[in-house]
Amino acid sequence: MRERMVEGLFIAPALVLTLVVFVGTMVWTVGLSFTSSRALPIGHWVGAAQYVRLWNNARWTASVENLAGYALAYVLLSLVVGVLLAVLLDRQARFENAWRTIFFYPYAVSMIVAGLVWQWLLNPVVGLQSLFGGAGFAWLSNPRLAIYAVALAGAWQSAGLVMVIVLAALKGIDPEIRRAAALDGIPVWRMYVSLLLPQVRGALVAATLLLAMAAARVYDLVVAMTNGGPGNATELPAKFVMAYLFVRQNVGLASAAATMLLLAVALLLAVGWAARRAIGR
Amino acid sequence: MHSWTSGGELKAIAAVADAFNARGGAWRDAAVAGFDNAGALGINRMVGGQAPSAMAFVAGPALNDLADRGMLTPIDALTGEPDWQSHLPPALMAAVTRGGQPMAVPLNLHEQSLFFWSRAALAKAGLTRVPTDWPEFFATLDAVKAQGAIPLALGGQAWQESTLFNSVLASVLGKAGYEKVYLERDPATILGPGFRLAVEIFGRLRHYVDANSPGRNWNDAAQLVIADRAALLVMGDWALSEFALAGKAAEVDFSCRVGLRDDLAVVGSDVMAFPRARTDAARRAQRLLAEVMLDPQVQHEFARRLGPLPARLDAPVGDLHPCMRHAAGLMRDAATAVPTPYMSLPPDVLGEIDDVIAEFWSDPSMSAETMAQRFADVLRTAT
Repeated sequence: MRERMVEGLFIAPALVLTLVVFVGTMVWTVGLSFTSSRALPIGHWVGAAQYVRLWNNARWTASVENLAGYALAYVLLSLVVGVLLAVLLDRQARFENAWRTIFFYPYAVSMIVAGLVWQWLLNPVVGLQSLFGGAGFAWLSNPRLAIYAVALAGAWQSAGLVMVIVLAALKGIDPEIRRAAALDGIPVWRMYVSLLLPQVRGALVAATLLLAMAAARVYDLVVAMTNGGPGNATELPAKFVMAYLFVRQNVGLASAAATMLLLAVALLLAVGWAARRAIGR
Repeated sequence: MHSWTSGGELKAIAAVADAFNARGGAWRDAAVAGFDNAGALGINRMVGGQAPSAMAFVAGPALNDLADRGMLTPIDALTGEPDWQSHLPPALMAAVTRGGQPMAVPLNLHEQSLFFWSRAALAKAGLTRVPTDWPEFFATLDAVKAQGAIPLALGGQAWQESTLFNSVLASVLGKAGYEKVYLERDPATILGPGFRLAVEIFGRLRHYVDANSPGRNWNDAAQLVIADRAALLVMGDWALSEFALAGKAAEVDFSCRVGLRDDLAVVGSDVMAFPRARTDAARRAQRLLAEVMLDPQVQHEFARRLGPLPARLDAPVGDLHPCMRHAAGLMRDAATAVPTPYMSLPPDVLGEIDDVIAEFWSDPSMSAETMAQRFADVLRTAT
């Protein structure tokens, strides 16, 4: 009993800090989203009016659509490339450590830097387009493709993380399984698809969840690469929140948008939690 | 607190600081890179009770919320000059007045619809004069394009696209029509033929920018015209400093026109607001600063180094840039000047108008009718 109290005493400051700083500000933001606050976080109760205005705002709906496209492309691309890299390294590759470092390295690069690098690579005048002497890479000036160009840059940055997670899980599998599969003459691709990858599904779910959360709050990458353009083709919800909070002087609307993001992340967490329960981990 | 941080801008604000210090003040600079960042930080400091003694804004409703909450000091309480308002353009005073009280000191007048033409780029296309009507305008751009140069140097960022659109709108609709749109928010005008023509002209301009335009900074766009690689830049008077730095002379290397026909100015203004001070020392400093900033000589020196006109109508303009001396007559006459949208629209509405303009620019399949309808909707639903 005594020990319990001492433990509690040690945890208390962190607990109070978490409650006040994280939960407190969250509750405050949700509260502000029901007010008419403009430049300053004071305003009277207006019910759900900000939410109505939010969903009638063309930039917000475009941001949500863009986010869906971005998240899908980014998560899929990161997963596919990351898993492929993990499998290749898992085949007892020579210089495995060196390769692993190289492939993981982009993850150590900040999103701002990644965004600037890809902005130059995809620049129609000095980038890949001129290198390959012609068309095909002017993605950033094409409103339909720009968001996927951003997703490509994001995936370049994150694929290494997926690789590390999946590779670690693959290494943890009992070597007997591989030996048995080799004895039975099962082709290598079959061995991975039917035997090994299902064994690491926990790692795959975790990686997917991490990627989805990263996608939901992506901000710096877009700011560095396109700043939302062309038009609003790469506007994203997080950028919408920043714009209305700090430039467009509408704290109420920004809070409503932030609350929608909070809901989306909470939903993701719930889905991830359910998925992990379902596969028994 | 302000965001004048480039080389020329620093020299300009130093003119104010020097005058302030010379009269016994102690200038403490709080420069923040980026106009939006400075605004965000300033408001955060005011909410947190650490307000700066003075804070730069753009004239218009961005000040309203702060003024309504009593967070700003009315200027009449700071200045000893009883008739100071009579020395400033009435439209500008209206934009900084809230509840019958002026809430900020206007520092300058920015002309934001200047057409910069590269003489060399025009000459290469066999042209000796700048166009003065829309058919001639498009013929000029076509001739430049045929020579392989860039007809229109544009930075594909929302605010630059809006600057271009508003310049076109002012040149097409004239003073009365433009003010019906932005001051009266009159739906009949926005859905009418004049506005649609402006939108169509704006849309046609998409064919005259280069592929590298999206995301380009305004000063890079200016450099294209300075290097004679592009024929036209539509930008505010701050671009003059780029031309001056490159040693380009007005009417020799480039021509500047106030709007297409050189007859209507779109005018904005930098202003200084004074958050409520808590100590007597701060209040004394604010009074001195207000006096310095309203001084015609200081305004003149600040404008000479920064590029625009001084806000005060009794400040000298004789040794300003020739382009500004030329524009001054139009800008100071209420009959030939209209306010920028910043002066009449609150920041969130302004941002949504920017969104509509940017979306139309990047989506050639959007019709002028749809654009006008969306534009009208934003102004109708705005509070």
